[in-house]
Amino acid sequence: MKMKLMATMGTLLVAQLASAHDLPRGKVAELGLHRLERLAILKKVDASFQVNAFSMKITVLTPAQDTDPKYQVDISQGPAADATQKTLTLLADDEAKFVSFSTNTASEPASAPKYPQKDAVGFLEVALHCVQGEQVESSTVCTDMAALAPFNTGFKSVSLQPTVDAQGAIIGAQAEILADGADSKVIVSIKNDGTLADANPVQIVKIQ
Amino acid sequence: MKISNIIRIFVLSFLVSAGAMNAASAEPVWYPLPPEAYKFGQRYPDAQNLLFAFDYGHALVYERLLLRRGTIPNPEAFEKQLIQDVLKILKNPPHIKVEEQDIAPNYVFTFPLTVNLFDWSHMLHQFVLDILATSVDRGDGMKARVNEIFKQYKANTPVVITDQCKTMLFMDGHYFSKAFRSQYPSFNLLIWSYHWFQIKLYEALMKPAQQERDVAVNKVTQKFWDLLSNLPDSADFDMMPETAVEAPTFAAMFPRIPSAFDNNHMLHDITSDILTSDKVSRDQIRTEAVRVSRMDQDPAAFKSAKCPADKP
Repeated sequence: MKMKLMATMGTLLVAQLASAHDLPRGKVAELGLHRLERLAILKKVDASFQVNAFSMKITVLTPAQDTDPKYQVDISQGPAADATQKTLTLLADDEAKFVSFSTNTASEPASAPKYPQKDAVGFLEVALHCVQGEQVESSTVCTDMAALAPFNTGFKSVSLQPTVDAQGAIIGAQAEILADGADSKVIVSIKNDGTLADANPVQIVKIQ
Repeated sequence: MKISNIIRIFVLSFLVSAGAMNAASAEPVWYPLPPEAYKFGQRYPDAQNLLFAFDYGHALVYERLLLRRGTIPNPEAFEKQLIQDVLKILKNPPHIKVEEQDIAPNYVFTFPLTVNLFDWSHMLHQFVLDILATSVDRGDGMKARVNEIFKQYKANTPVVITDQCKTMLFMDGHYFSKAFRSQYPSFNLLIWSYHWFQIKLYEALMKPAQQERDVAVNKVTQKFWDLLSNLPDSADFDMMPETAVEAPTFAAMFPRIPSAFDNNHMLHDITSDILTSDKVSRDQIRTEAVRVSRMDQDPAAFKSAKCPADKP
């Protein structure tokens, strides 16, 4: 009886611990963007991180103690001429509550696209909502794509590139998402206004 | 009588009665008031008066943004004054619900549909608090009573905000989005603190024993003042507080009400953005207000695939 009770309590404890850590990493990344926005709006980091965000990656840490952070989110601007990249590093606990931030010393990006409507963070938000299987405006493309799920749970990184027309004018952006253990990548194509591109808005392609 | 005339009379009668029904219920008028109405305030007057003060604060900021549009040379100074004025109201709140047309006539004139949606939704907010604060039965009886009120709320379809979960892109994905929080970050955090307070009251009132509820409401009220103590740093929100996250016990018992509340809160933020963004011309304000208000009513607009209430 005692053993049965202990086994039940043990199961409950494991279930409790499991639930605290089962936040999909795509969600953690999205929360990182919100934290970046707060820091930029409050002028605690330079606003260029919001405008020029080029890539974002998540590292799952191994906390030695309960109070140690669980997630590290690095948001970088584009590479500079000297190959450095301005990077904002966010640390979060196991509930993805951000507890600290720091920035490095690096040079300005060699080129930063001037998106005419949304800023870079806005595009990344759309891409992350998509990979989480959410509707984007009225489009249900992402909701209907079950194959996106591993890119949400195992999200590793996202990078952003502008898309241009024949005259070189920016017409939107393309976000490329990688996940741990995946041999493919997700490409989300977004128009300047934040809606998904009309043709091939979401593709899953093999990594070359 | 010819069959075609009979058909004409039938169709006309149907249209007239349908029109009459719609016209009769298109206003945010709750009649008769539930017997529990405003009894939350009898038990928790400080908390109730803060809720009245929030309504006043929302209306005040909308009126000022509208009247001062395009003529705010120093947004920091404008925000500082606004916070000072609203804090005075919060510290010396009204003891009754103030009529918005008295404090914000231009806002009420410009946003008629939005105002109606808010008014109707705020009544649901209030009456749910009233039931949770006064129900002797803490189980099925209380649950049934809240659901009865919720059903009554949803029946007035011309002014109902949908209870279908929406993604944050509904709030953050428009061309004018985030303008308010960018220009007035501290006041934005004050508003998110209001919303946090409202949501946390539901959770506090889910405690089983009366004394526990009383303690919990006091703690939430104290925490609210802590959030305001040193804006912006004292209010560590990265995004709008969500009801199911901040009030999980409440959400478990009433799975569809959290999204009805969140959609109301998102519409408040969207209204602030419309009024702040220079991407929305003065001529466009009213049509944009109607457009987003209709989206807030539409279950299909920005529908979330992750709604806890939709899980089988």
